[in-house]
Order: sequence, then structure tokens, then C-alpha cells
Amino acid sequence: MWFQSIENSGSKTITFTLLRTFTSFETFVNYNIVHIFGHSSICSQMKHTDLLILGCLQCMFQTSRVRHVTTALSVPSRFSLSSLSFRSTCGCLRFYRQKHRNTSLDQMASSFEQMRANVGKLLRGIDRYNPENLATLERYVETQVKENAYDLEANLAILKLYQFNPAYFQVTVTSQILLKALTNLPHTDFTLCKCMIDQTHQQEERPIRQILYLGNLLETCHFQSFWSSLEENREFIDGITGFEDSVRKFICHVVGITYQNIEHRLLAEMLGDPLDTQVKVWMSKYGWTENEEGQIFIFNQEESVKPKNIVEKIDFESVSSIMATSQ
Amino acid sequence: MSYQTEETEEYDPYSYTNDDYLHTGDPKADLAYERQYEQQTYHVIPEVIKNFLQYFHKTISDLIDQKVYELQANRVSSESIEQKIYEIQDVYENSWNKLTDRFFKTSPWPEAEAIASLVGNGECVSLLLFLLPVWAQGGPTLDQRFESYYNYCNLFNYILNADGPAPLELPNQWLWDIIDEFIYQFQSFSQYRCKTAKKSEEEIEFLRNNPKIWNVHSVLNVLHSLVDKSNINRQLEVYTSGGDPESVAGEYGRHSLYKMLGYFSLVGLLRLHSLLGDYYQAIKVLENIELNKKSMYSRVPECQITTYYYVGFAYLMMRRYQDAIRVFANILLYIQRTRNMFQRSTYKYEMISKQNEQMHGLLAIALTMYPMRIDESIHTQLREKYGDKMLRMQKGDLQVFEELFSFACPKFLSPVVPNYDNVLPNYHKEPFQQQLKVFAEEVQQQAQLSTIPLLSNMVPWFPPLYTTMPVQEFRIQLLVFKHKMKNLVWTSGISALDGEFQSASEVDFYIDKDMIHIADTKVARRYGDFFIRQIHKFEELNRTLKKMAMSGASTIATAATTTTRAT
Repeated sequence: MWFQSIENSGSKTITFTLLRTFTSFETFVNYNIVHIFGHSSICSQMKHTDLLILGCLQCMFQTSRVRHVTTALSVPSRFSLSSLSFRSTCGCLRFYRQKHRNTSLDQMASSFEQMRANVGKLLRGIDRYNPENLATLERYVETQVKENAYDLEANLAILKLYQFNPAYFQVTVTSQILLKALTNLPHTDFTLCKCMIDQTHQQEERPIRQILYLGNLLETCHFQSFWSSLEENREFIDGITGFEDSVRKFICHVVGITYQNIEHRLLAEMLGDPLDTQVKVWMSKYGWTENEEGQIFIFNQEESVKPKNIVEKIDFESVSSIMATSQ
Repeated sequence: MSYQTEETEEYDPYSYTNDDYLHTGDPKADLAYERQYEQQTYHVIPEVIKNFLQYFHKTISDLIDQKVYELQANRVSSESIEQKIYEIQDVYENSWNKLTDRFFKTSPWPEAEAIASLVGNGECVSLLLFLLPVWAQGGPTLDQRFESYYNYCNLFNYILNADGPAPLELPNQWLWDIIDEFIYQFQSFSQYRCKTAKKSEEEIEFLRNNPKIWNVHSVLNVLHSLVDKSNINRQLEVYTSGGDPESVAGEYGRHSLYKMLGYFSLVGLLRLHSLLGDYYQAIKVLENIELNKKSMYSRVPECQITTYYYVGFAYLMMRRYQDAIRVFANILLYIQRTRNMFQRSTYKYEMISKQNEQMHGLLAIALTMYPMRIDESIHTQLREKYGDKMLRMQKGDLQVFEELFSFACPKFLSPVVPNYDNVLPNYHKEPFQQQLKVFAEEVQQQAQLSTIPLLSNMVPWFPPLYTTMPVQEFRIQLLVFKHKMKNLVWTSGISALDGEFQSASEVDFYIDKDMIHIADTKVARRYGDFFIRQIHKFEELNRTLKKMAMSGASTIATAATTTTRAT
């Protein structure tokens, strides 16, 4: 409704004022601004697109919805807005953002790095066995989960603290650690975690049992079963950013070392992709091409996998001593 | 000397009687009590032992005096100290064991009290008492364990909390034994306290009231403090990059006592973390030690062997089979070569033999999981000991895997104080069960592979590909094979945790649509090396014969022995 009112207003100042009033409303902030700009038909009709964009940018910046700022700053190129004032304001905003390190954008990027540095200090020496540090470490796992980051050493330290202090054991954190370990396949982090989790927890806690089962499926390459199991246990992996992508990366790794040509259908099954949306994405990531018959060419394995005949080479030095002593 | 007088005021924890005599702090009263007590002891100390103890005590005291003098004159080490250390080493390794064998085979050494009265108090007493093999027949009692713990605490307190570096210089062998024994006793105690079935109420009460004794945190604290105090990590870093470790050693680290204790503590941490199941951290603590090079720190053979055993085991559990195989092969070759050096004491020799067997077992497991070529001599030895076991493992017999694992694995333990009211009968076995389970799962994941004749390394050429597996399942197993054969392998760099994914399998394949293309690696028999060696030996023989012919029969005897040794 507010959109129409802006559209209908004729003058620039009114547009801008209306926008400013709306910036104070929470609801406005929650609206996906980029979505609006996506409707290019509306924008082209509007007279004061540049002001609208400016206002939105300002509002987003103030309320620190930085993700939207980044996308919004790419809008000008799409709409070829060339007014000088507009561009200069965008420039100022960028500069302002960079200058003030407290803004969310920097916060998000550096928050993980900062935490990693802090945690690194905690894990030095005898301090890593101090259960008082558990709270910080558990928060660190949360950060990893949200930001699709990973730190094996810190996670193992948490498991060790749980081992030393069983009263502090937390199922949710342990499940998250296990799932994150799965995202690092083919590394054997999952096995390392299993070695440090007590048997009773492994058998009795439902999320852990399920996750161990999923892990087993992945390690034994039963990918189709994995995807169907995952559907039934969706609630465990909710919130773990990038989990499915990491798993698919692992699957592509295994396919990559095994196959030279593979059927499209088979690959789709392994990627858990009944609607065939993911296959193209992963093919482009790895540079795999598809021919007319539906066969996807992976890699010229013939080059690397060849029968080898290792023949002994006897070099001159070893024989020279014999030749010297022989008459 | 101040360090000697402060000892007399301490609580004497070595009273075996259970009476509540507490040190009153009044020297006269205590001395009177001690004299009285001594008369009550029924142990008669043989003259030889008395002499030995006094000699030993004198040597160490002299050494301490010398060291203090050296420190005060600002010199770190000198020849006379080295001479003394050599004497101490000799005493420690040879005389000690001979005397134990001769006099104290079945009964423990005389009580600490009696010895103390002979040689007086002082730091030396702590050290001497440490040497006492306290275990009488049937394992140590709870009291003995507690006392031993206090003994260690005193010793480490002295070393770590002195104002300056302690004026002590001991042979490396002894220092290694201190750390080794320390962890061994911790291990023993942790398992002991979990077995509450045969304990009396009193003992359980005692355990319950003293949770700090042999607490995992204190053990970790000691090891970490030794590492920190000696700056050993920095020293190793500088050493491996070619610099001079003395420059970063710091005040304590410069003395070989601290430096070596620091180094041995790193190995101690490796061991401790492995016992608790944290393999990543176990290898991480050694990150500054180059495991593949012989360095100046690795002169104590038992230390080397223990290090490689635990590193190999950690690699095995981390599914880095290629690394594990390499490590085990290395150390087994080393033991083969230096075997005759270990005749010193029966106890040490037994331990090394046992570890030798265990490592062969682990190597057998690793080779089954990841077939690859290893040194011929080790391979022959392995086939002798575990030939039939390996065959059964290759066929997928899970039980053999588990048996071998149980024999060869370290004695895992739990760091937590048990709840004495409610201890299940097999509680002490739980940590082991846990690790066994993880291992068994790993084996099972690869078990299916063994049913496919193609992938067993016993078959050299293209075998008839018969299998009753459905195609779908077969395809999955091929993926599993490829996945499992790619191990993280250490290639370069210092930290043993680094690595790249590599596959060293002899049989390799790839799938092209519906066709499997197999690539077989055939290694031709190496004969060049063998021939060259034999030719050299023959030349040697020829030369010796010629010499014999010229110099006559008198040299025949000596020549004969030289040739037999050469072959």
C-alpha cells in the first residue's frame, strides 16, 4: 500500500519524506528490499527511482541489515542509474561502512575470525582443560554452525571437556559437532569425534544415534539411502548452514575419483536430486560436461589410472664399484 | 645448603603403619620416634646394600654440590659433571638391577624409613625412593599408591618450583624412566580404582575422600608445566629450522635436566592423550618433532619405541593407514637392528619385546586394511608371526581383527572418578570397549570389500570376476573402495598432522559408463641390489683368502671369524 502512495506522489521531496517516515517502522525493515527492485516494471514506471533506492539504502544501513545493503548496492548497475548524486551517496555509504568497524557487515566477517583467535588462545596449554571455558567454546560451535565455518581442534576440545566433566555434557552441542564433522568428509573427523563420545551417549541419545547412522551411510557410500534417511530426520540438520552442500561436495569427490563417464540419472540419484535441479549446479562447479546420450564426462581417468610396470633401474654408481674391483 | 635443610621439616609420608602419627614439627620428638620405629623393623639390610646405597647417595650428593658450584660460577656443564653422570648411569642401569635380582627378587626393597636412616634426608632420598620397585607380589596396595603419588609430587615440586634451576643432573635414561613410570602408575591407578568389586569398605571410603590423588588434571598439569618451563617447543622449532636452540631456551631450558624432561613430557602427553582416545591432540603435541629424522633428542631407545608405537596407533585410528604402516615399519627395523643392545635388564627387555609384538600386530591390521608394499625383512617377519591371522582377516573375519586389536592396543582409561556407589562390574573395561567399537565399525565398513576377489591383494592378475552381489550394491562397494583407499598421507613439513590425499593401492580402477577399467601395478623383481651386495661380499672373501694364503696358517682363525661375520 505504501508503495502505491510513493508511486503516485509527484514530487521528489514527498517521495523522500514518505520513505523516511517508513524507515522508522520495523515492518518496512523486514521487507525484502531487493525483491521490490526486482520488479523492474514497477521501478521503470516510478519517476523517482533513484530517491527510492537512496532511501532504502539509508534505512538498511541504519538498521544494519547489511546483507541487503550489499545486494542493494548492486542494484544501480541493473537499472543503469547514472545520476551523480546517487552515485556519490552510494560511494559515501561504502566509505562510511568501511570506516566504522562496528557495523554489522564487518562484524559478521570478522566475528568468526575474532572468535577463532580468542578460542585459539584458550586452547593453548593447560587452559584447554578448564571447564569454565565451555561456554565460550559452545558459543563458538554456534557461530560455526551459522556461518558455515569449521574448526576441528576447538570441537575436539569441547568433546574432551565433556569427557572429563560428564555433568556438563550437552546433546545439542555434540550433535552439532558430529554434523559439522560430516561436512568435512573425506577427512576422518567423524571417526575422531566418535572416539571421544561415551558409549552410553552414543546408544541412548536419539539425535546422536541417528547422526551416527547417517555418518555410517555416508562412509559406506550408500548415498541414496542417506538422502532418504535425511528426509526423515530433517530436524537435526536444520540450522546447519551449508550441510547439504558439503555432503554433495563429498559425493562429487568420490564420483570424481571413480568415474570417467557416468549416467545422468545415476548422478542425480547419488546427489539426492529427484527434481534434477542440483546436477547442473554441481556439474558447472566441477566442469563436467554432458553429451547427447545423457552421459556426463567427469575426468580423463585413463591418463592417471594405467597399468604400471615398475621396472628396476640400476644406475651407474652402484655398478661402478664392482667394475672397479673386477679385473 | 638450604635445599637440604628444608626437607627435614616435611611430613614424612612413608610410614607404613596405619597409626595416626603426625609430624609434630619438633625435630627431637620426631627423631626419637624414628629411631624407635627403626628398631622395630625386621628387615635386616645386607652389608652390600648398605654400601651400595651409601655409594649411590654420595655420588649424587657430590654431583649436586658440583652442579651448585658450577651454577654459581655461571657455567652450565663441565667434564666432572659428565663423569659423575656416567657413574650414576652405570649404577642405575647395572648395579641396581643386579642387586635387585640377587637380593630382592621376591620381596620388596627395605622400607624407605630404613634407607632414610642410612643416608639421611634430602632430595637424594626422594630420588632413591623413586627407584624402589615398591610392588611386592600381587601388585601395590592403596597406601603404596598414595605414597608413590606424594613422592612424585615432591619431586616435581622441587624441580618446578625452585627459585632457580634445580642443581641436578641426571642421565637421560633415568629422566625418561621417571616420566614413563609416572604415567604408568597413573594408568595403573585409574584402572585400579574402577575395580571396586574386591575392595573393602575402608578402601572405598579412602578413595572417595581423596579424589585429588592421581587426578588426571594433576598429571596433565605436571606434564604441561615441564613443557612450558623448558620452552621445549620453541627449542625444537628453532632446532628443526637449523638454528641454535640455546638462544630461545630461557633460564631453565638451557639445563639438560629441564630440556630432556620437557622433551619426555611431550612424549608423555602423546601417550596420555592416546590413552584417553584423543588421537588428534596426541599427534598435535609432537608437532615440532620431526618424526622421520633422527635427532639429538632421541637417544633413549625406549622413548623412541614408545613414541612410534603411540604415533602409529593414533594414525591407525585416524584411518591414515599409509602413515601408520610407514611408522611401524621404521620402528620395527630399528628394533631389529638394535636388539642386542637391550640385554641389560630383563624387565626392560620384556617390555620392548611385548611392544615389538604389539606393533607387529598393528602392522598386520594396517596392511590388511590397506595393502601396500613394505620392506622385505619386515614382511617376512610379519608373515611368520601373523601369516594365518592375516589370511583370515583378509577374508573378513571380524573376530580376528578384534582379538588382535585387543592384544595390541594401549590400555585405555577413563579420566573420570567413578561413582563408587554404583560401579558396574565391567566398568574398567568401558573405555577399551568404546575404542574397540569405533575400530570394529571401521573394519565393517571395509568388510564387504574383501568378499570381492578382485580387491584382495592376494590375487595378482585379472581374476575371474564372479560375485553374487547385486549390481547396485557392487557399484556402491566400488565407490567405497575408492573412498577408503584415499588416505591422508604425510608428504612434507614438520607437523605430523599435515598430509595430502593419496592412494597407494596396487590395484586401481575407474568406471566408464558400465565398464570397469582395471589398472594393475606390477613391480618387477629387484635383483640388482642383491647381486651387487653379494658380489661385494665375494670380493671381500677373495681378498681375505689371498691374504691368508700369503701370511700362512696362523691367520686362518681370525680370517675365518671375519668372513663368517661378513656373511
